[in-house]
Amino acid sequence: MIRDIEKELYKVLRNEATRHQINRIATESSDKIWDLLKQYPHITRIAEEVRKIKEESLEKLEELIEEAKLNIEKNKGAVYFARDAEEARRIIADIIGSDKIIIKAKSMATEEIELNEYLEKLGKEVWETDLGMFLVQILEERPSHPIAPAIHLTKEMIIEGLRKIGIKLSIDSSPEEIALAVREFLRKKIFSADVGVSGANALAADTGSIILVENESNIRLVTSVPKKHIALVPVDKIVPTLEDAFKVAIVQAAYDGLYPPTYISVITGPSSTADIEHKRVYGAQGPKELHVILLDNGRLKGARDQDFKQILRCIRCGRCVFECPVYQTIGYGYGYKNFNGPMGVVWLYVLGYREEAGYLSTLCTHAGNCKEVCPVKIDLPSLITKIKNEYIKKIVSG
Amino acid sequence: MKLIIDNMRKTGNPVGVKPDRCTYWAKDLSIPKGGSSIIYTSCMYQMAPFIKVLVEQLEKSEHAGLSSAAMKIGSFFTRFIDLYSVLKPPEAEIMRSSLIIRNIYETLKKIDSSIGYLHEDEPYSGALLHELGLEEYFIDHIKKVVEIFKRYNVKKIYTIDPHTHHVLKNVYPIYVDNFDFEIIHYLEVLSNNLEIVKKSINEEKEYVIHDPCLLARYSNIIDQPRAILNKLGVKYREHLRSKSRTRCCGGPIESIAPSISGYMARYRLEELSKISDKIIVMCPICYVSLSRVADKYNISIKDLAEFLR
Repeated sequence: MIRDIEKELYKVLRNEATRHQINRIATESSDKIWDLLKQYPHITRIAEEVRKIKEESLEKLEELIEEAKLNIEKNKGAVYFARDAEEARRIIADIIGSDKIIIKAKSMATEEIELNEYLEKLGKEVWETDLGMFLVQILEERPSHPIAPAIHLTKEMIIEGLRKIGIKLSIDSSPEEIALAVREFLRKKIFSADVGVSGANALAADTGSIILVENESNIRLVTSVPKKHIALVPVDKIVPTLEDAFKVAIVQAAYDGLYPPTYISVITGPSSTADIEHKRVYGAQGPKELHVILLDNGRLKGARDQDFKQILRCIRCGRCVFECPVYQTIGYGYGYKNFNGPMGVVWLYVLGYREEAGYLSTLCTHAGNCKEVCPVKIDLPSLITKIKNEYIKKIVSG
Repeated sequence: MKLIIDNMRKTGNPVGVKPDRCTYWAKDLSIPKGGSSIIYTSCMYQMAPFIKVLVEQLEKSEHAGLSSAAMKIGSFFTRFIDLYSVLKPPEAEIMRSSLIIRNIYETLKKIDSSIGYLHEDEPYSGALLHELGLEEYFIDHIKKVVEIFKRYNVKKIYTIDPHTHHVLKNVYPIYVDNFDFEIIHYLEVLSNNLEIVKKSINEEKEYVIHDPCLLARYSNIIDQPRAILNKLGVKYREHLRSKSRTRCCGGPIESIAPSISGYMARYRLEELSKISDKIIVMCPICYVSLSRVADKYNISIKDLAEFLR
């Protein structure tokens, strides 16, 4: 709803401290990434490979989906195909069944299908375990960025918010003290959780493996401690080979400014052992069940649109978001749901939020920074212009 | 809204600028009307002082009430047309704009002695229609613009501002069949004829360059202004976020969202002022945006063309 966008927009506009913080963090992060790419020249080369990999994958997406399904099953994972958000939510709820406590790795896909709200309505206890996402959840805020969701929150807001769930910290607590307090709080949840839900940075069709990149190690816990692991994977994440998937992970990590990444996990099937008389048993120290849900939600249709299929190359690094001058000024005010900045506008449009994408497109200054920095060379300004032209045309014609 | 656009279509002038305001700079210069090569102002520099006053008005009246983009666009044009005749920008700003165009013209004339100008027949490029997303009206409008160029047998067009240059160079060819005019920005021309650029300044103070997005990223005009500044003897330092990394001044959304645009200008100005309190721009819209804020600080902004002699 446009009213929701405007509400958040005015909230940011009125809050000078938030604006200054967003401007500082976005520009500093952006500068840091420029340095990083200079320091590791191989990243730019791999990014170019990833562009080609993604481009080619989109041309045979349906084939890749079938291949991925086959290989996930071969490795004892369960695989599902969800046409839209509702179907995905229903499948996940069925898998969870009567289990109660759910822990989550940060996942744009689960935000997209509004999974947390849905599960909470079903009476489940849902905990985000990425620190930024956890804070956004506790403070009932919108995520600011695909990788850095809490950059708009000041330390004071965070300390205030944590009191609500009984984490009492003095107002002059350091970031270290806050992180430690949350770690202790979340550990209790993590070790009592029944189900772990994650997204994926990439899915390799040839092995059925999913790849996850992170720094906090919360993803490792979410995907290994509970007895069930559910991975929600949008179909645009599928690439032909495991090698390709690693390349995506490397580029994603570097272009969001976290390179080298602290952890890259490969998950192929549930945990298992064959140490007792060489009989394969599923459910060793990790999950006993792995459920992979492939999410369409408008992507297959998008892949057939000559202009807009470009956005399906997007690896959600958020590089364009930090670099966007409008985002640098108003942060998540230039966004809707979990979609922010240039890529957010285009994703919203492709996923069917035409009105919202249209409204946001009128704030674009066609500065062109997003196109300049995109690792997979998506022509974001042209796509946003198309969205804007369509939106204004509709308005003018009444 | 519809009515406003219809009016714009009829008058061919989307912002209600009186023609004499656009041609004022050329008074007494006896520039031939038309010709195979022309200087094309699209009235951009001339409009800038008026836009500055207007945006200040808009920002004041932009209350927290929620209005749709359409309303904002509608009110922008209504206000523009209504207010244009009553807006009173400072005389110094109008003189400054005229001087900039005269400097560019005089310099170009040294390179192309037959350079002409369309005077009161010079059409507006339609850049604003394109930027606001009024693409159909833009397409209609540019057909007329091209007809005028053809009527005067124009072959070569010297653009002087980034917005006009961008639409002519990168957008017109998408919609106009056989668009075979040579479009060249004056900074490109000058950088190819550096021998006519003379040292004009003897100042030790270093400036900081603010590249316009539309020149740096859309037309790769980055080295040219620097080469010219070197010849002019203007000393400058670079900000990290310059050249292809340059950051928006906020100008393009000054009518849709004046307050966001204002904050953008402020952040840009603040980072530039860490390098120098003297800023060089190459775009009338960048000048409007940044100077709107700079007036409140102690920062001076000069257009590159102000250094030309």
